Amino acid sequence: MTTTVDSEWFPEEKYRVQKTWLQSFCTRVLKTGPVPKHIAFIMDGNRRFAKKESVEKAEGHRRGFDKMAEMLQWCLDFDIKEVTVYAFSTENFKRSKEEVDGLMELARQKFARLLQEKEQLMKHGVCIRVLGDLHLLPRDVQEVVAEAMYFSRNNTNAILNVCLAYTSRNEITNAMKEMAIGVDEGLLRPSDVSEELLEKCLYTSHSPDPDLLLRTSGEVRLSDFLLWQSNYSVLSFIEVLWPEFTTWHLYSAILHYQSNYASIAAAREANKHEQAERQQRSDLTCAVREMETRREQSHETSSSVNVQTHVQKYTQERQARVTKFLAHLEGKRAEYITSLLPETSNREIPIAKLIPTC
Amino acid sequence: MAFYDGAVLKCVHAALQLWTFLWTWFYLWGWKPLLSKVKGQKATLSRCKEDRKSLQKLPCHLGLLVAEQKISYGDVCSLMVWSMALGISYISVYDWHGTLKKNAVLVKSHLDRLQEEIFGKDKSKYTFQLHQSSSKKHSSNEGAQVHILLLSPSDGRLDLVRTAGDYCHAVANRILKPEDISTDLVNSMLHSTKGFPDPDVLVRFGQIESLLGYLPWQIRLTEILSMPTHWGVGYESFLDVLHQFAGTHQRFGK
Repeated sequence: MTTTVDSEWFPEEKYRVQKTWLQSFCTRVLKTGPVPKHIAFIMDGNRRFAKKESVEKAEGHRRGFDKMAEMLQWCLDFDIKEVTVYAFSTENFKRSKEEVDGLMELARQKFARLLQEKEQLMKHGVCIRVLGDLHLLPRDVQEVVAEAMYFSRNNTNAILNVCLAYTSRNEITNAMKEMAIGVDEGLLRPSDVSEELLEKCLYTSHSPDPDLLLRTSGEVRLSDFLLWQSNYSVLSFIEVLWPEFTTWHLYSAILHYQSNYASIAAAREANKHEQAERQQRSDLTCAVREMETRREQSHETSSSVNVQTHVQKYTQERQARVTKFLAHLEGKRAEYITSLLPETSNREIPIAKLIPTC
Repeated sequence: MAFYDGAVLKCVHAALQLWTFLWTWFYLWGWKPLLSKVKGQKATLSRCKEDRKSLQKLPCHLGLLVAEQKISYGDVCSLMVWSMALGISYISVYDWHGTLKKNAVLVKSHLDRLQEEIFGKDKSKYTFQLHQSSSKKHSSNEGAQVHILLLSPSDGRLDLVRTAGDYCHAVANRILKPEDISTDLVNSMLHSTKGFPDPDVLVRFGQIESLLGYLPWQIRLTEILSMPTHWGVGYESFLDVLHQFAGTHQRFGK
């Protein structure tokens, strides 16, 4: 046993020792094909694992965390830039008080530990984002989470999104609410609502949609995780309990992604194209309607403005409205995180910079 | 050196992909396409009624997702008629280009023909109503036993965008306040699946392992099961999938 304690979040040493030449070779082989840029994980099966090994549920969750840290190393090896994990669903609050408390304690400990391992985190350049209805968490957990988000905010090498107190339906509903507030405050018009805008109001606004969504334990549901974002992702349901997940499962999932890559890429491209077309059509309709109302008001018979220039002008104005609204939303969300930070660091924060726009 | 290195890796990768392709092929199809068709028994109403008893749990709403370029109307409609015979009351079909929805009349005629074939005299006991999110109705069976819904990508994310737009209009006109929104309200405002419960099971046909724009909101707790293709799909393999569903157990986050 070595005397130095390996990092809990970045078990790099342990991974380097365990890694076999066959694994390095497989990684290199798979890297010759398309590798997902963003993988989302539903880490299911911790409790069943605990039951199987006849240990406490809390121990099962701890092992699940260790596996996640290990998995991050594998992903870094693959140059996978972004990973999103489903750590705690809002629905999980319905579990027994004992288990919920245990899970909150685990989050508290691990995030506190992350603050201690700052150096490692900065070395790997990992940006941590915690997504979800954070106000549902105990106050002290909110605080450590906010601090971790704050000090890693400028890292760009890799991004880890941790979904805590998250459900996708709440996220979508929240996005709608934000837009409605924007309309109420006069920043937006109801006609500005679009697929693109809704997407930018989600908690995942800074992330591209996941390329691969992986669920362990053999369950074949999304369970309210990234419903909107995984609409065009490759799905991979793997029959293994999360603490027993190995690199080989990850390799097979990536291979599975590669065999689906071409068709998914085409479907995404087509969807993006249609989305842009819809936006154009909507701009045209709105601009023409605006012209007509104006004409009625001024009782003009012949239009003095060119339709095309008016549509262009309308599009620019809409974009300006949307940009202003999104900056406002960003500021509001950053402010919430800032309010959770300890007093000392509170003052030196340029609010708008809190969440990096990559 | 680096070039040869890269070439070797690429070759291994290609070999690996070929191997996976062959493996999935045989796993899914076995020797069936090579040998003559081994057909199971044909579905009859009495057989379906018998099989229904063996299923511990039947989906209330069965979703079908066709992720294939070409669609066989006959096979899709067979699936629907079998589901009706098994006693499923809500059925929806989604295809990624919205072809079925555009050709609802064709779907209806196929359904009528197959109903005649399987139900015969009992046809009147299995009336159905064809729904679409647009107001067009293709049959006006108000008291129908079975509801069938045809879906396209515009019923997915776009329905949520439409809902958000409607909501924002209501806020702009001071009918609602921004804080009035809740998941229940969103549920009640969605157009595409009005009157339908969320699907309990989604059977995905085709080799593309993705939802391809399927209703994101409604898929929350849906079991997603796969079948290699809908072309020439047999009654027995469809029944197998339903058995797979009946064997599952949900914990609802608890």
